Amino acid sequence: MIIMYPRELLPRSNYKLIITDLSNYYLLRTVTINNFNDVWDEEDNCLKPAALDSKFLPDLSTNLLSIYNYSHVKIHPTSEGRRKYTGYCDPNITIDERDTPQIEIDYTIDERKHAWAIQIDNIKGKEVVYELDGEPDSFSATCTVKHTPTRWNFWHFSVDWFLHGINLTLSELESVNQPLFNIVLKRLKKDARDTIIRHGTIHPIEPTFLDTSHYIA
Amino acid sequence: MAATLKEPDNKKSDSFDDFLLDYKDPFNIFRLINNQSALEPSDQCDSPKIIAIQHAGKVYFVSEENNFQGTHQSKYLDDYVNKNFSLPFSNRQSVDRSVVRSTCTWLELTSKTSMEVKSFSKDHDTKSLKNIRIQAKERKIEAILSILNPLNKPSQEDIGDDFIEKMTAYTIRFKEEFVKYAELYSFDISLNEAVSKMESSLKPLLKFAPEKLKLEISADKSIVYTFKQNDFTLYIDHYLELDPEDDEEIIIGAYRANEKLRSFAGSLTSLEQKMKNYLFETEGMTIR
Repeated sequence: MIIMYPRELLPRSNYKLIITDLSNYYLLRTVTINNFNDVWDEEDNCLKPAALDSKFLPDLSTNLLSIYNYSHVKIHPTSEGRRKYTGYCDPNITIDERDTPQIEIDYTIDERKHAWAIQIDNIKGKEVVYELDGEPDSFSATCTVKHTPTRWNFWHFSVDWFLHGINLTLSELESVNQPLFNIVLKRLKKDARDTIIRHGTIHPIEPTFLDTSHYIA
Repeated sequence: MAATLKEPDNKKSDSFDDFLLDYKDPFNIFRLINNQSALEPSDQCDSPKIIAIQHAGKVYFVSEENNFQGTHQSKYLDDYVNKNFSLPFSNRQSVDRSVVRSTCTWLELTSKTSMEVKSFSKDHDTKSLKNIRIQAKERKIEAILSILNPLNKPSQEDIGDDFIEKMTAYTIRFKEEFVKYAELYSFDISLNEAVSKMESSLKPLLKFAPEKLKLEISADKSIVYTFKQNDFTLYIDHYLELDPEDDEEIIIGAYRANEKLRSFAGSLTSLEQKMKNYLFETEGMTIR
């Protein structure tokens, strides 16, 4: 059981953004499970739609499975912790000892929290082409996976979509054109869900060793 | 209607069973071609099209051009076979045109793994010209079979074969899911309204005799069908709750084996046509 906040999750002054190819690595996404069979289809060996909530896009929050592992998914931010630590930051900020997240104040441990995993190769760079109401190629988008460290989790990665033609990511579109964003969001959420159902797994994956050259400047 | 050599009349039949097709009399095939019972399995073949016809548990492929007049009447069937079926090389040789001169030639699907090229001469002599072995896992033929003769398809569902039984079983399953997630997903729609919506999308899907059809509910308040047939997997979302100005909407995500196909978003009324596009005109749905 985690009592002290795991310091291996925090950004450090000698860290850098991870931009190297991590195709073979896995991303973990936390999910609250009351009943294992609600999120996992044993017969078809795949995730169920209930493994995803309705707000998972835009900007699907995930964590790189390596130094971050299954024990960390039980950390649940309080509203105070969310306010203080979940914002994006530079990879090399220093979190002082006294600023380290505190249990019960900034986070709790939720034993119902588990995680599903998906290999980066199964999602990054995948293209979606949509036909809307009989118009072929109405829009297309490519899935992106980007290292987006937060103040309490250097290993945070975001899954987003780059929209061709508009040349914006789905996250960026939200503030530019809300009606179009709503239309596109619905479709891409559906496609992302299909991909995750198809390739995700609730069964634990062995963490992959990550060489320091990937993240130390 | 008995099989005769009379010219086809223009009367449209209400049902396929009104026709008696004696395969020894392929002239009747061409009457059927003009009837809606025929299904066009592919637009990949150059004109004229090859048409698949089911009758009495058998499937026939004939060419509109197969009109007893010329010497090239087997060409399109050959082309069709070569384009649509991954036949062993030794079977790719053409049917001897001299044999079929002044005859009608057609393909008869004798099992899921074999076809025969047959010919019919004006003296009513039917000959089997060639046996063609279809390689295993032939997508198109399986798909055509499932549409034309769904009872030939083994069901992998625990749900019974009968359409009404399936509808009933899926409705029970849907109600369970709906009640289970009603509070978590905060549905505004009533159970009865939801069931009515579910039936409107389930019926067209069952017509395609899926090997497997899974029904679930998502947090986006959609019915999620996972439809599997051969190496096609289609994820079909039918949204239960819409903005007032929106029409009934479905979204389809599709895969052929591991290849992602184009996704589709549109009205519920287009569901059946899009299913045909995915299953039978897949090339048009690939991402280029």
